[in-house]
Amino acid sequence: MADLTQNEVQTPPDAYLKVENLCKHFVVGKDFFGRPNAWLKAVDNVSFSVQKGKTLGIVGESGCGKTTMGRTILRLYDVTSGDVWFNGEKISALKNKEFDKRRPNMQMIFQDPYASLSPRLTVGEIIGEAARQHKLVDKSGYYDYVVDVMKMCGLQPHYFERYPHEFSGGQRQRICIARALALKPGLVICDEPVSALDVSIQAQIINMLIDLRKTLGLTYLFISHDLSVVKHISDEVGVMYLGTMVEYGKKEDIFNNTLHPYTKALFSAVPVPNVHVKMNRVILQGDIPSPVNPPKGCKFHTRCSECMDICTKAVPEYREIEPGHFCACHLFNTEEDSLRLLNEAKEREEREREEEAAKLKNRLKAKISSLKDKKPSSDAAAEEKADNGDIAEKVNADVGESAQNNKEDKS
Amino acid sequence: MSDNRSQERKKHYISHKESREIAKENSQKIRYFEKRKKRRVKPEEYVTEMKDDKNLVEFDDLHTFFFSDAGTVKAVNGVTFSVPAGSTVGVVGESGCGKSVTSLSLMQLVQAPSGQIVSGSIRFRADMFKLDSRGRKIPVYESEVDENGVEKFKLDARGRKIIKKNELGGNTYEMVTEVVDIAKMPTEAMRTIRGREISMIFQEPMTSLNPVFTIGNQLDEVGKLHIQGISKARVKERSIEMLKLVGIADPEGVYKKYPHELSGGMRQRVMIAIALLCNPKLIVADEPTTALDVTIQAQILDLLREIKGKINGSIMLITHDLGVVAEMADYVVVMYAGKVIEMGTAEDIFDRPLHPYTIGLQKSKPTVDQTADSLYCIPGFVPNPINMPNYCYFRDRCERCKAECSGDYPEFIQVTPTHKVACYLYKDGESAKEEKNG
Repeated sequence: MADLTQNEVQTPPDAYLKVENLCKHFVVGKDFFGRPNAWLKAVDNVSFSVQKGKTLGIVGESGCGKTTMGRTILRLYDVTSGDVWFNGEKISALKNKEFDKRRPNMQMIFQDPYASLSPRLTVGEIIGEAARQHKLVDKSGYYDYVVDVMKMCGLQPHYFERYPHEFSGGQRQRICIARALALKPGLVICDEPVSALDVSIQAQIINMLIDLRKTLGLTYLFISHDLSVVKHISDEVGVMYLGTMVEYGKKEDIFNNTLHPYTKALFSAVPVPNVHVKMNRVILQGDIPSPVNPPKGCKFHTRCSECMDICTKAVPEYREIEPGHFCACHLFNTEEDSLRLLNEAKEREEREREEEAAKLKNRLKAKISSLKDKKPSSDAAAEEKADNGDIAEKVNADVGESAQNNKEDKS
Repeated sequence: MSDNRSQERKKHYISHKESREIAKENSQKIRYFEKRKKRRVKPEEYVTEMKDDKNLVEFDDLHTFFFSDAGTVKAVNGVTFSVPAGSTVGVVGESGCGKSVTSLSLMQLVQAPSGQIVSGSIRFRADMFKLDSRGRKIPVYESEVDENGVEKFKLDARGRKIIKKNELGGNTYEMVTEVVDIAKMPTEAMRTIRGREISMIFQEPMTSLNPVFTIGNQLDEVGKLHIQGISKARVKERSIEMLKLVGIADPEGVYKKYPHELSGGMRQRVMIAIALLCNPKLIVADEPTTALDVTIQAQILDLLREIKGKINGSIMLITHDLGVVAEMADYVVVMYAGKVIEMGTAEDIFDRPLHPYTIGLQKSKPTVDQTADSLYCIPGFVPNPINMPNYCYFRDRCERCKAECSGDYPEFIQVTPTHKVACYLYKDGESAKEEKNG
């Protein structure tokens, strides 16, 4: 992997933020020797790009990896694989020290304004701390600098010496936004900035975010589970399900010409404040499956209303169905595509089976050799039985039987 | 700047001495209310009459206050509305407007001792146990009519009369339908209503289920407490029946599980199952879907609607989501700062909203079908709940306020037979309406 990236010609993409095949896998299980053997694929092969001054909205249910994706882009989590390009630089390949210099340019607004502000710092300190750390402002200009940022976010200057607990939720969210904007960033990742707020306060914050985008030329990555808010603020929308992007495109395309069944279900689930609209609901059955053990084939097939035979077998391709409108669903396959995908899935399965058999073989070999080392001449019969070549043959013949043999050996 | 700061402080902070005085006063008041709750009250004192016979619940000028050391918080300050039998009433408002406290008052679950129902009444039509002269319930025995036409009690092997079983598997007692005033009821009597006649679905299924007991345990507890004379086997049967009713695919499996093993949506289903266990007449759903995803929310709302038809009861739905209310409710009550400001049928509220706050609330919510450049937002904030002003609480945020608005708090104005609003704009009835349309 590393060789490949070195050989590649590093041409910066034309987009302001470009994410290519981004993966973030968490280790959730380890074997006896501390080697990871189970992964949670929180973000799996996600690609998109955002132009400067535009807003990309990411929607999805809780647990679909929206927040993890945002954090991985900011490298608050280490990237497992994939590239992140920002402002013409491949930030996923930078060293930590190098990356720290870029941090002011990309900021985040966190979800819960009650939990993300330090209760022991004053508002002025919260907002100005990072700016001072990054030497954006010197000591003499510090107060004026912070007050300017506060005014921009609708906070009064005399809040400077107050503590976060003295504020309501909406005001706290303004402090959070001021903290992010104090560094004069280009990209702001908003992680559910309004979901903890009341409706009337929500409107204030959304309006403020839109105004700031205009005046400061910000680029937003707006993560939310509220479709109506995302529609209001975004230019482009991505829909995520269990760590993968299932649909992505311009706002108008996504909302007027919905392709993926999951997106359709998601849209129809939103209650509309209109008494006369009784919608034909596509109610999804059941819960979102566990990301540790996602369903085979298309991850959505367990809840999909239009599930076909192929969906349970092959992973759908994420590709451009219409210009600028991406979708990962078998519904838009041609017959050739379906055949190809099915074959690929079959091949992959076989490969995996072979790999597993080979792994088991290796493990057996290792165990047998260790047994041999321990008691070289204690039991001749056992040694004979645990002959390397013999066992290997057996593995080729039948994996299960050899496993049994192994058990016997142990005993 | 320092001048400003000291003024600010004076506005929001009280000295230690003042606080102690308030605390002293409060303790006297609280003692009075607590005593009243524990007193032995004869049923005659709390049995009343309904204003309208169609109603199941009537809130009448309810005041629920919290006596805190910083002053009295008037969380519910004169709330009047009713829940007609067999309908869904949605209560909407921002956080802190007193909608949850209204529902908790109905259950007598306000956080005592600081929180107390101060005055007003909550009338509820309940099936109460008929009591004999010594205050005991009167059981109904199994009987049969013999050849001579004489009614005879069935006797068991030891010669005792057998108490008749009801459809839930518990003992049958003689019942009488009475209208009771929950605000005046002693805690002891309230226990026979809570859970059996009114039950509640709480906001967060994560925190309202006990993590150290199995789901089955927690379901059974309700049955054992509220259904007298029910057998253990029948309780379990009933619990599993309820889990099936709320759409859980594997009820026997879930019965043995712990809450942490279930997802949010499943937990909320379990909460609903607990609420439905004793066939209540009224379900109070306090933000039942706020903590859930949209897709799960759609499932739960669908379930609630379906169940309402099945058990033939009423639902009082408390939420801040206008979309949920539009979908579920027949009647809508809009609350602001502890008072009802507008109420009517769902069509009234959503098609012809009158109060500036209701209009603002609807305009400030972005919708999927419409696009707008910038959202409307109501200026300012909800006033401080301690020391509320005398004038209309919304005056300082209102864009259409008149000179009159600085006077007393506006009375309710009946605009149409179903639609009421508390705002001076509509005092002259039709003229104001036309003005608005024009």
